[in-house]
Amino acid sequence: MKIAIHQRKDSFSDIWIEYCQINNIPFKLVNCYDSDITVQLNDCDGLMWHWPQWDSKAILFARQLTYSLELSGKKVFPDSNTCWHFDDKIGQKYLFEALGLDSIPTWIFYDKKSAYKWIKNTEYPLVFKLRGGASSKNVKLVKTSHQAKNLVKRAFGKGFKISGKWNKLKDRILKFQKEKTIHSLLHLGKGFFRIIRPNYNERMSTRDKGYLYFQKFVPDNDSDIRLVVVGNRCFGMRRYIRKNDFRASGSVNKSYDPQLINIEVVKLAFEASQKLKMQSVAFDFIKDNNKYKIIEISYAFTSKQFPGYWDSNLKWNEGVVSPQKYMIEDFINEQIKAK
Amino acid sequence: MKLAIHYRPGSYSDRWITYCTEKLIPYKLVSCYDSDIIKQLADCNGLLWHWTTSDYKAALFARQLILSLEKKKFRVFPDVNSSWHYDDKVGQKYLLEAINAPFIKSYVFYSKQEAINWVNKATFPKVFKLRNGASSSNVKLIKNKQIAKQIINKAFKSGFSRAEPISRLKQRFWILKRDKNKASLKKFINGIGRLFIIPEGEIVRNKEKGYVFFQDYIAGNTYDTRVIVIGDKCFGARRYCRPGDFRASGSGLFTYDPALMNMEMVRISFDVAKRLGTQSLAFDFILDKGKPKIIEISYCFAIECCDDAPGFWDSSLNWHYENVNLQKYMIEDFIKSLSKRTSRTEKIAI
Repeated sequence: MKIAIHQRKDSFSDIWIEYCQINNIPFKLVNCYDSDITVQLNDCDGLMWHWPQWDSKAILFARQLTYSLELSGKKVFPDSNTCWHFDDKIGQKYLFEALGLDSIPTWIFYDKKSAYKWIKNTEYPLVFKLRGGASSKNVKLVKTSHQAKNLVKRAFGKGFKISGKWNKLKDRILKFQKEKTIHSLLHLGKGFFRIIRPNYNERMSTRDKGYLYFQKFVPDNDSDIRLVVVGNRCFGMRRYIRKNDFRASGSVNKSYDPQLINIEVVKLAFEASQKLKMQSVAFDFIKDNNKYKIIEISYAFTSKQFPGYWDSNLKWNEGVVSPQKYMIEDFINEQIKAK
Repeated sequence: MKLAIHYRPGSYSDRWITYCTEKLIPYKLVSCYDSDIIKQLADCNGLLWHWTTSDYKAALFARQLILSLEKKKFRVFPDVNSSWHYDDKVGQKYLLEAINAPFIKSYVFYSKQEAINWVNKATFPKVFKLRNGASSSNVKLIKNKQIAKQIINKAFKSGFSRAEPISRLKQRFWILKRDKNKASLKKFINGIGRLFIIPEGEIVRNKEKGYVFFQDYIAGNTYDTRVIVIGDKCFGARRYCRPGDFRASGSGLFTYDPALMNMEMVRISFDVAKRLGTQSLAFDFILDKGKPKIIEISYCFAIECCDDAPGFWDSSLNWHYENVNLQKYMIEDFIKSLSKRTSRTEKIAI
């Protein structure tokens, strides 16, 4: 048995490689961007590759490579069930509706005429989103039909730049205000530099157009609940909204205290994860009319340590744990060895 | 049992609707673009939607809709296996390599430096392609390193527009000269108009950039072979290249003579379609040192394709004479797959 790992510094691969070294799991490092990647994988049973939504290169082919490898009988993390809807709120809308998952109502339009017709007769505020973007990027509150009309014009005209450089800068300022360290100062400086000189991924990113996506706005949520399910473990945190904002995702104010998470949500997360058949899934939940509902999902996330987890019997297990370690453990024990 | 059909005049839906009307199959027309499409399908057992490369709206979400429906075990034509790689030569490269299909050697690069390094060692000519585009659009013969480097610079800077109004016009002029009829004249005039009035689909589509894709050029092929597998049936045509050109796809110069068919191509097509689990798959083959090699694949093709074919091969490679209607075979197989599912569910319930 041998697995292939695509190495990227500061990604999940750090933990996966360490796991293999500690547990004597044969592995080889590969480069998924190479033209001969399928040949590189000939002597491997599976591939693990943590590709993020901001990697413009990976977005071009990661899903296609995954589907192809699966058809050839190899195991992949993230597999097709786990990744096809990653960073794609449109895909998630259809998926939640098809599987009957309790999610925040969402509307999508692919032409001006039907979008105009709908915005005339709907209630405001609404949340406008682009299909891609993490940490509340590309998310806006739309308060009037006039604002919505402008969005329609833009969506079916020049489109929206999927750039997060201004948002990123704002978050870096907030982080610096919260923790005045050299690291956060450097981070802030980088943010300013990126405004002038966008990085490769920003330069290669294209405009989003030809569609318009709205989600129901749910008021009175001072936070959302982020739950991560890997196999039969659930990790959680509560994320508080930014000051004078309605968005929690990507906020620096968060708490890992398990007492702050209603056990009913953990149950919901386990149920949804079973339907979704994902190897790893992070849910964002908010409360709508006293009921927790899913806003969106993602296979990847930034947190690498949690103070414990709930098992599928909803029992809390105390102790610092890393979901990324369980990803590779499940991948090897339940997928590669079961092959 | 009830089918949902997304109606688009001029698409396969015309023939599917005719089929349902003649055979008294219950169906309803739906619009997949509607925000509540999942709800619209609640009283149906399967969805048929012929979406194509030219429809920018469908390209935004068709695969996502199909994937979602299949997760709730709802059948769709084309299904995920048939369509995820449609109009995506990069995806096809990985797929056909991963399953060891006889595929023309292809190269893809996601960084400028790696592409340049490769060009310095490669032999020319090579064929440059964008990942999308039908009928030989977005395909160029690259004769030397210098031109290859120009292409690479563009791929990693401004990118390529999918629409090629000039070469589209040239193609339409060539069809006008070939067919000399009203329809081709109309298309040619429309092509001139499109030089000035850019259609919405072309405005909305983004440029192709951040990657570069090349294929080996195989000299001496004056034609390619189009083979289509639908269920247990295989259809074939030989397509000749345009005079003075290396591209056969879209030339419209073809013959359905079964005697001209390379039976190894039929065998390979049945084998690959089976391994991929596709409902409908068209292959473009050329010969490389006498051996068939796949250039690309597609779940759909021109609606009139194979109407004049004299018959088909079955999976045992026996020839059958029959009037051919590919859309009829698609819907017949689809309905069969639905009834199989229904009877299986009934058995489980018992």
